[in-house]
Amino acid sequence: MVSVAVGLYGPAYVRGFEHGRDSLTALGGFAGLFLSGMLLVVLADDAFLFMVAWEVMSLSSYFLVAFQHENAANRRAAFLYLLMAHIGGLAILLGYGVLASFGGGFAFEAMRAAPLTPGWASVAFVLAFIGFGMKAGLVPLHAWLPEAHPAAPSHISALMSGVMLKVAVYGFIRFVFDLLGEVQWQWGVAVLAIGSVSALTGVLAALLQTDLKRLLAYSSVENLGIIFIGLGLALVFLGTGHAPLGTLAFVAALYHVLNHALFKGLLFLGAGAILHSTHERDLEQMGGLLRRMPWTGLFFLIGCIAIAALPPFNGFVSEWLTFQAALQTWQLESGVLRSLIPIVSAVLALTGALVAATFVKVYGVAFLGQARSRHVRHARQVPFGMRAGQGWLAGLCLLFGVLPTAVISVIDGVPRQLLGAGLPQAAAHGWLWLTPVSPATASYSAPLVVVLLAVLTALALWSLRRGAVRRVRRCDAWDCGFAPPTARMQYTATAFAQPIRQVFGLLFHIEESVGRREDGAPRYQLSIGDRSWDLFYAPVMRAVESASRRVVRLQSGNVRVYLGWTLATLVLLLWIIS
Amino acid sequence: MPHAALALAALAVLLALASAVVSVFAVWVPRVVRMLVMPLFGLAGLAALAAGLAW
Repeated sequence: MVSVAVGLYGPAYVRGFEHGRDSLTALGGFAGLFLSGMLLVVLADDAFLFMVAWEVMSLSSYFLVAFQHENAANRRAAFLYLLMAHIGGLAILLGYGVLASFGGGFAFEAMRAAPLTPGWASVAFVLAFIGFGMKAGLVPLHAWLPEAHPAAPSHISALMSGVMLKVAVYGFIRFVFDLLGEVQWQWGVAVLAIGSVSALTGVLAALLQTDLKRLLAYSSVENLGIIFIGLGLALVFLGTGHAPLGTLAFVAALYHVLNHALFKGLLFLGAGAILHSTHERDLEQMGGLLRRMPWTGLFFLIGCIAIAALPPFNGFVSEWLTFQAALQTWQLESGVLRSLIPIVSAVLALTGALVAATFVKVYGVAFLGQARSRHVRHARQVPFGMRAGQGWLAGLCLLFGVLPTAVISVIDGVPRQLLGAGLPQAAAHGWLWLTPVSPATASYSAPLVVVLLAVLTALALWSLRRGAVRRVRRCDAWDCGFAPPTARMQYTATAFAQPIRQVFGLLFHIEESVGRREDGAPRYQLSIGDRSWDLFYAPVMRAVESASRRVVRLQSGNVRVYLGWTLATLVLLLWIIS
Repeated sequence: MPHAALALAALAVLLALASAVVSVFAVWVPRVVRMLVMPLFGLAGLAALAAGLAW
């Protein structure tokens, strides 16, 4: 679905990169390989083809991230992505190695029959969680994601965020729910913990950003967190013998996979349309785009409502299903789990509120008010193809929100195949009512919500026209004695996030500076760093640097010393083999 | 996996590869063929969607 949108959007968008035939050759060539790699991953029936396709996907996306390589920041982002993609790939390879050594082959059929001990199954699970989690951008393995997604051209960012991250989720599901066999509830607790941390820190980081594409990238971390919360709940329920509830949580996660692909693809295409028209990614330079780009404004608004999980769009259904699964925790026997999962639910609720704040900020600052820069003032509507690509995804966001029972009947085949049972009760009361547990517990009718919203809107318009507001007096708004408002008086993206920054500042590395008064034009500057760099990546980098300094002593420049090392290595290898 | 879904999935992979190949040989192919790169990409997505629905 996202590829179709990219196919419509791409021809006009890539014209902006047409510096010569070579540049488009690279962009189109690697984009085609990237899509082929992603398609082959989901078609693979053995670990060998899976890994080859995975590498095709990773390498081609590396070249796409490095496409605008004239910029040093893009080269750094691409290298970081390549490095982390290969560390993740190594973990997945080792995970498959564990399964293959017990199963006697690399075919998935052989791996399914592998007689794994619980200890080795947990080792394989941890390797798969690290490998696929790194590709999915789970905290703290997400460092590449907010760097790589903004560096790539926007239609590629839409594919990376909308599709590639979901291929990682597919890999995790295939490995854990299909190949590993019997699942353990302890795995679910680990997945729930990482998913919750990703969801909360992802949305907080998104809220603090002023670069639109970077904000969307952090929002992907948050959404992948929500998906893994669903998968974690499924593992806990399945591991404790509550298969129907496990199926519900699993379906909720799958639904959110589809939804995130649609609304994040739409938002990245919207960001690309803004970039195409204004050459701006910085929210602080935008404003008033709704008047200049009304179609992009409408589609972007749909994306914002969908990602904020408001009815009648698709994001609401999957988050509601995840909540329904979490609310069934009382059925668990373990007191520890009964206490832990409500905390996850609370994190999910807080995340939902912060997502709404984030996208109110994005839409308000970018599309409403007045333009803050010259480029934005001269912005124009993007070509038809680019609007059609966004329109296609916006329509699907509405469709997936209005017809949830039809969507569930399509994705129900996955749990039926992997878990042995589907979610028949979801549509047991007809297509109009979604009843995930039972009608007495919870039900939602998206079509009725749409009708209700339409009736309310019509009533509001009718009452306005019929004179409920009898006399309209038009005059200037009271402005406290100031001159007419200018763009400089508007709420900025930084100011909008300030209260949240005060509350959650400890989670980030924040540096604020206000220029000295004696400077001609003092400026307020804010830099927000990711604490995961200080906690996880900086110590590893220091250790690698220290080890490199020691190893480099071997490089004496003397051939006899090198021959000596070669001989010693050969003797050691012969001793190991014998 | 049903045969129709498998055939559509294979078609999707072929279309994506065709899009890559046309782009790589862009220097030698006429402009009208070069313009097919993104439509082929979109068709690959459509074939993949059809494969998913047929599965």
